[in-house]
Amino acid sequence: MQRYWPLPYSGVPGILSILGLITLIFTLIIASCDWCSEFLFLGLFFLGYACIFASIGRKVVIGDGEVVLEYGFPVTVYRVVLNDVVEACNFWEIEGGRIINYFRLAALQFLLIMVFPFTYIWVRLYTSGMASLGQILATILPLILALTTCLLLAVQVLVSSRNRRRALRIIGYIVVSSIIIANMVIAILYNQLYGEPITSNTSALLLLVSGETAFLIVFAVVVMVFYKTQIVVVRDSLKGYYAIGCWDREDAIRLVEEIVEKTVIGGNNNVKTTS
Amino acid sequence: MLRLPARMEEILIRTAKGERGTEIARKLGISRQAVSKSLREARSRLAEIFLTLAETLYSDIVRVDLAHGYCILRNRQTNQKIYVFYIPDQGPIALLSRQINCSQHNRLCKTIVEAATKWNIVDRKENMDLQVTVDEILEKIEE
Repeated sequence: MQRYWPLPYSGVPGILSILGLITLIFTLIIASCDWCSEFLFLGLFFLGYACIFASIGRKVVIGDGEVVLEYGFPVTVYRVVLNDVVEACNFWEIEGGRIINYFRLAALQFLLIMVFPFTYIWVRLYTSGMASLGQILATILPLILALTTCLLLAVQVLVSSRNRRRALRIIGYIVVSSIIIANMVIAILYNQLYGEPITSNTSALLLLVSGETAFLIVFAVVVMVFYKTQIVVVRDSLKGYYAIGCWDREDAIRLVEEIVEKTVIGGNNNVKTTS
Repeated sequence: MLRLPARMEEILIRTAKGERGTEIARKLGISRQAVSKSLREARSRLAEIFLTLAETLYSDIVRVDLAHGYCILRNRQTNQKIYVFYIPDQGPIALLSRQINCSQHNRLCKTIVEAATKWNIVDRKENMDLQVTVDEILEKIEE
């Protein structure tokens, strides 16, 4: 099993990832518009996925005085070669480390992922004529604002927290609060659209509950993976910071040592023998 | 011995202060290629010093910053962090705790502050309190 993989938090892979996310969000939003042709929809859809797949971390190769980060799935499409490594650190082991200090693109990625479902629901409701903008604004604006605040808060905690355990606990509270608020939004909208409470329709209620359960299961898995995995930050004097994901703490320790031994020390030994 | 040659130290310190290769080459009267080769070798030797210390102190490397001459280790038995600074002209020193009382260890604190200023970790202000500066340095290397 692969123990290390590059993370698309900076450089070209980071930009590709953001581009992919924006394209996908835009595609799904315009899908309901009359002027959007099937050709345009499919084109943008595949472009978005192509960007996302191109930014997925594939392999980390250490040795010969360089760290090679390969991105792309299922084949390598982009390669970053760090041959002047001056810093390596196990990110979660340093007390004052904040992701946003190193990777601003990562913050934007988290924000896009979290905001997307709500933007999508909003636009779909509006464009399909199920509810007018005025209607939505008049009834659920405070709730939407609360939800947006929750999301922004979650992103802020995620990218700026100095303690991972604390950050995850706060994010857990925020997600639970968001689900409660989202339930209220859905109940109000349902009541407005169909003129009856959502509890009167068993199948709609079942769908909502199962959707929320699935979301919570996915969230729990994401939290567990996020808690277990580690991030190693590598700085090249010219190319800046790059992130590498590691399966656990032992892997992160081994990776930092390997980078120092093979890239910094080994790299110089190679230079000496060839010169 | 855990020390770098004086010329290597100078090149590392000048680079840490933001001087370019051509500028350093001109000031030291050597070629630009010699500077970059020397810089690479200096970083390699510094990394070797930090690795040797990590092994001696039975610790894992948490962070190594060769551009600013320090590393953070974590002892495998006590799980405590160890802060290692490379002091120009002297070699590395290891702090086994983050709590240093500068009124008791005045000389040590001064040495750390001077080294951190040389390595461009902090800007030394003339009338700044020694304890505050040391705390600031330790906080900064944990960011």
